[in-house]
Amino acid sequence: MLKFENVTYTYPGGETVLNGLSFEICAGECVGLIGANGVGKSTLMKAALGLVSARGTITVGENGNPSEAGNAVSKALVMNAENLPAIRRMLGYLLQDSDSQMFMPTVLEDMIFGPMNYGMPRAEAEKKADEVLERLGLQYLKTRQNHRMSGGEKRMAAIAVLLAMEPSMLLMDEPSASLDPKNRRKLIRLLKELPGTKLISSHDLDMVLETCERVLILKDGQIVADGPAGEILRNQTLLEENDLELPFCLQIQG
Amino acid sequence: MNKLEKARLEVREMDDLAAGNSPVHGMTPLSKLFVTVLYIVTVVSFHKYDITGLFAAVLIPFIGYQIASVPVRTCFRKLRHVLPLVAFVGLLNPLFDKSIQMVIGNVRVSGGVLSMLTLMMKGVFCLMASFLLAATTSIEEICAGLRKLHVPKILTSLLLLTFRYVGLLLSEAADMTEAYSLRAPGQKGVRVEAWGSFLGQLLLRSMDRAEELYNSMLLRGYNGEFYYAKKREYGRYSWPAALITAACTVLMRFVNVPAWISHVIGGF
Amino acid sequence: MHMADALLTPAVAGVMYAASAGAAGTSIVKLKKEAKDLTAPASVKLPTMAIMSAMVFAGQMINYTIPGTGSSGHLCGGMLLSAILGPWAGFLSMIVILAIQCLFFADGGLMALGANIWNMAFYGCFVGYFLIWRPIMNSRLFGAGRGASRGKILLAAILGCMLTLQLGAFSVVLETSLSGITELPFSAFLALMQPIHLAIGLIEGVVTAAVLVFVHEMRPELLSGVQEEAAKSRGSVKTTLGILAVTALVIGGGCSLLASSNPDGLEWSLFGNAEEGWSDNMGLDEEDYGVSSSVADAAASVQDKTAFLPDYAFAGDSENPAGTSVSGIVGCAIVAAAAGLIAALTGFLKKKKA
Repeated sequence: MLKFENVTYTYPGGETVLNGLSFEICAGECVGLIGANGVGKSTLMKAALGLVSARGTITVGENGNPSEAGNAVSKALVMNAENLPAIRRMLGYLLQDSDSQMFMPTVLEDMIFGPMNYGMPRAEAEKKADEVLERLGLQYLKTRQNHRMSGGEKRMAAIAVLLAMEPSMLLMDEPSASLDPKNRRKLIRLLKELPGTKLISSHDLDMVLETCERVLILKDGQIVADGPAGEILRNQTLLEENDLELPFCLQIQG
Repeated sequence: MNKLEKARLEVREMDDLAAGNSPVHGMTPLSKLFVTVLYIVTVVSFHKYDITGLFAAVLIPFIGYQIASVPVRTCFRKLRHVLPLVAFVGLLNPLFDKSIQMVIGNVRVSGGVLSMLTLMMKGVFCLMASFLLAATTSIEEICAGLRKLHVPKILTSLLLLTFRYVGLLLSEAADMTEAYSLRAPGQKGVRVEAWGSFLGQLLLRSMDRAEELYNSMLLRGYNGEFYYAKKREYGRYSWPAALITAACTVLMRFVNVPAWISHVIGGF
Repeated sequence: MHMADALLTPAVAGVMYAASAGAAGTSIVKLKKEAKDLTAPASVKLPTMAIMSAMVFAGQMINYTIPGTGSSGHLCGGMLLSAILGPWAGFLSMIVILAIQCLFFADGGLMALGANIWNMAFYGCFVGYFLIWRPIMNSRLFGAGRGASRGKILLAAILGCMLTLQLGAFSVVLETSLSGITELPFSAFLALMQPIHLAIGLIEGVVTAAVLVFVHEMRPELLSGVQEEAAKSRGSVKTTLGILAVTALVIGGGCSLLASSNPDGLEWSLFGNAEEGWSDNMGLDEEDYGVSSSVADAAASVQDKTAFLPDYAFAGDSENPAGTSVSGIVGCAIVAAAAGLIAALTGFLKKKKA
């Protein structure tokens, strides 16, 4: 669960990127965040992670027992200095640049880095890593050196690194950028299969249409549209007002 | 292909070699480090005229290369870095030391020529030894070994973190030089108008990347500690093998092996 | 300027390792202290150091063509790193760069690493920073008040690179001579090395200055040692005098060496008089050669004092270490043949296995 209430962020230079922004993402939802270049999509994610200190209230909640009703939240924390470590523990952030995300020598070492920093014993962390790799079918990457992977492998491995931390919610910045069609397809399949709350920021509206049930459009630091993906992504006027286009697959049909 | 791209491939080649699986790869990093350092110290301590005794010392790294299946020629390509200064220093020796130290038939060899030759041989042999260490030990293993020697963590972590990004920065810089040369045909390097901005741009981008990287570390709970995985199982023979090699090295230092061989075989 | 193992004795190499380790230890302590301070700049953080090391490593391979000549210049890593990261982090980053060059490119030897760190990182990071970079950045003498300016960066980078390269080259000569590797007299070696590095230093300085000026114009906050010092007020007369003294030292020292390496004289002394015996013509205090006699005397006394070093040979060396010549050479041939046999044999065995 992620809730923004009247969040504002101004760069040190004086430029306002988030301007009294409010929205809520419930547990289990998969939400797409779209908007033209420079509208503040990345800044929004950084605010959620406490990497930039925004004004306003940001609340992050942990997933409840999955057997209970869909949007059960076991605990909700308000962003402040004290809660910051716990909040970061709940969120998995996929960076646009996988090379910055993975800084250890090998994939396995990157996967155990987070869990061990949060106090998990080595054996358990390695077992966890094995499980995740198994689930994603990436066993062959386990001992691979990070500087010896293709772009597609890097992105998948970066997702594995996040999942090894068992986050309550995934924040993904341009997950499909610079992937070839086959790897993009693989990613979309993975995103559909992955349970849990997700916020995906992307220019790849076809992918958003396939993977997200709800879409937010960001413009001038505000949420200008919020609704079911199928409706918003079909609304040509709305998209064009916000410097976006219909998803490619809908253009062909239309 | 430009220099940066070549350097990237060189790193990659070393990586591939170090990933091999031979008895030499299976020795603990510290035992290999010990032998290598001992070998280098012994080789450089040969007397400057002792050319025959020194020559035998080539056998040790040479056999090492065979056991490790590392082609010797990969190492000789690296000589271009080491040889210039050594050659510069050594080439002048024959001009200064004219004492006759060796007579072969009726050719008299001066001390300067001998010391020049031994100096170059020492340069090559030491390179062979260091290269064998680097080619059979990954940088992670070397750092693990250094940690055991109580080298501060900040240095070993920095070394690994730097190594992780060396290839990336090399190819980024290679792309930039390529893009530059495509727009500036016939130029051998970056022209004076672009001196500052060329590397400056890369520097600023790198600073941004560093910040992103640091964020990524913070998000995963970084508090000054890195955790490394065990890379391979090391053979129990590591230290015995290292000590035997060390003993042979020291023996060669005191017994002129070529002279001994010819004495035994030919009775010269 | 990377030294190979062969140019050093273990004793000299060990001393240089110890010296570099001492400097590294101090840097780590200082850095840890800085890191505890929460307001510390990002430059003391490990990732910044790592990325900058990797960048300088790559950046040093870029060729900068020098106008009017066919040759190219490179970047001066030590000065650039300490100007961005500060001296402590800069020094550690340089160590890492040199270690990677040593391990992966065989650039400089494993045993010589300590000496290489000293020659190339210590002077660039500490002498360059504390004696040149910081005083100039915070001096009022060069206009623009305290803080950086284009002119000051240019001055500091060029002066710094020239000075640190001179010191580095001097150390190479000193270490090699103390190791008794070369027969070349100390002063002649010096006269060969210093002027070359004066020219290299000038070019490296200009390249480094260009990069730093660019950074200053784009992101001035990235330069180290500029703002923090600006707050403190310091006796600028002292720093000015210091800068002037260093400048005089570099220019004076450089020029006298440049003058002394009068190519005709050098060529004459090296190649012209082979048959007349060297001790006479390569005489250190010969008027013709032009090295000032005080330097020559000092060099000679250093040589006297270190004369035992070339004979560091272990006990057991015979009077004629070249061995009984003929038998030695026959033996070498046998060793070579054995090596060939081993290679052939392992090749054969591997083929069989496969």
